Amino acid sequence: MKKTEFLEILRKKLKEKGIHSEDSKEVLDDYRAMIEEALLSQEDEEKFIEGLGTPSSIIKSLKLRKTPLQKNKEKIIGMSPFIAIIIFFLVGFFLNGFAYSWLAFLLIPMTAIVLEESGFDRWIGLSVFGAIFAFFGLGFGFDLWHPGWVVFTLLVPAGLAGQTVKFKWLLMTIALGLIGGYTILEFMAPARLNALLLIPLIPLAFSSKVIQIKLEDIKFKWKVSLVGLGFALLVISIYIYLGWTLGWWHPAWIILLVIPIGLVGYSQWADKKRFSLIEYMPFVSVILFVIIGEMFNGYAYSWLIFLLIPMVGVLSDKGDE
Amino acid sequence: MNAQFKKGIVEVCLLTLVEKGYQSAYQLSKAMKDDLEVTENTVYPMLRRLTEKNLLTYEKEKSPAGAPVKKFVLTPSGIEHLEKEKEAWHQFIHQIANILGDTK
Repeated sequence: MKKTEFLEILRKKLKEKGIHSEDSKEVLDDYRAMIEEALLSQEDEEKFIEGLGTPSSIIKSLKLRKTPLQKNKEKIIGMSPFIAIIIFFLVGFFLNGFAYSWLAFLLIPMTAIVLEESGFDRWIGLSVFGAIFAFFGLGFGFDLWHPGWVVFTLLVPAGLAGQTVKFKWLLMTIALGLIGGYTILEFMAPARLNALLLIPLIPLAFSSKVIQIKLEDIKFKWKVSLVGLGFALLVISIYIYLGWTLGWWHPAWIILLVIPIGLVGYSQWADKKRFSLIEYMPFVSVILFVIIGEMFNGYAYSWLIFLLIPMVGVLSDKGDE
Repeated sequence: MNAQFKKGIVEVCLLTLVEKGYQSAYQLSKAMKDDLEVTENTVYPMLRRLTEKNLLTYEKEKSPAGAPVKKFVLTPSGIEHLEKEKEAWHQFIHQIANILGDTK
């Protein structure tokens, strides 16, 4: 990475984290000075910048002042798990809706996305959660697990809408046309061959950058995107296959949770991070929650599985090393 | 090596290097890298902490490359702190050497 790119990412990260403008300026000036001095000493630019650490790790290691707005945002994000728990129990007990009330926990990352992200990341992040809500709404509400899963394919035109690519509107129209065509065909003349209509969405998904983990600090960005997309397509194909052949649209959708599990694993490996079970726990908990809920009709108590998340968090906490 | 233990050593080394005349964050991290396994990612936050603790202060100097460079110097309390820390470390190293020598 070159100086200009590094400083630009650092500037963006400081802004994203809501760091006070004076502190941000000081850190940027200091790093600029450090890099320029290294270059004057004939150091290799890329190697030196690599040694500085990632912009995120730099910010993490510094005690920096935050803006009042950022402090308020963090308070709201901190409250969101409690609000989600209240909604979860209210819907679960009063509407006997434990099978779906766990969706309230999605409010936690959604709150963080709304308050912490901006631009394309916010748009695509909310689109993903919108698709998840729509999928479960169609499934639990109208038993439309199939072809309700098609809502996920809407992420391709949503991804296109959020960025500047050539022929954006044409590509979006094509994608929406294919998805609409498939959905209508499935209602009027259901047949597996109808799914051929969705195949052109695969190359469109590449250009829409739908599957893209936020790892701009590391070199593996493109690799993660490709692996993520390939892996997601594989898992979705298995899900659709199970749905078609065995009619397991529900609750086999839990297989879709393998996608974030795989992506977390891959990003940990790509980022050379130590294995961290806590990052998998939200997904693993939902899988166990649904399995116990469905197999033993135990939604009324399988929510206890979610307590595993803080428990693993406590057990994984190594304190100040 | 225990992280807390290493942090203590790095802090003393950093203050000593400033005392010896290494002034900028770059010079200090380069000098530290030569002998200890530390990176700029360790040195820079530590310089900020030591400045906040009033053990170091700095003046900004114009650089031929463009961005002004912070030149660090020890404050009076920094000099006093360094003397105390050096003495403590020498004593500690002496005690450890005694123990290790006895176990042979």
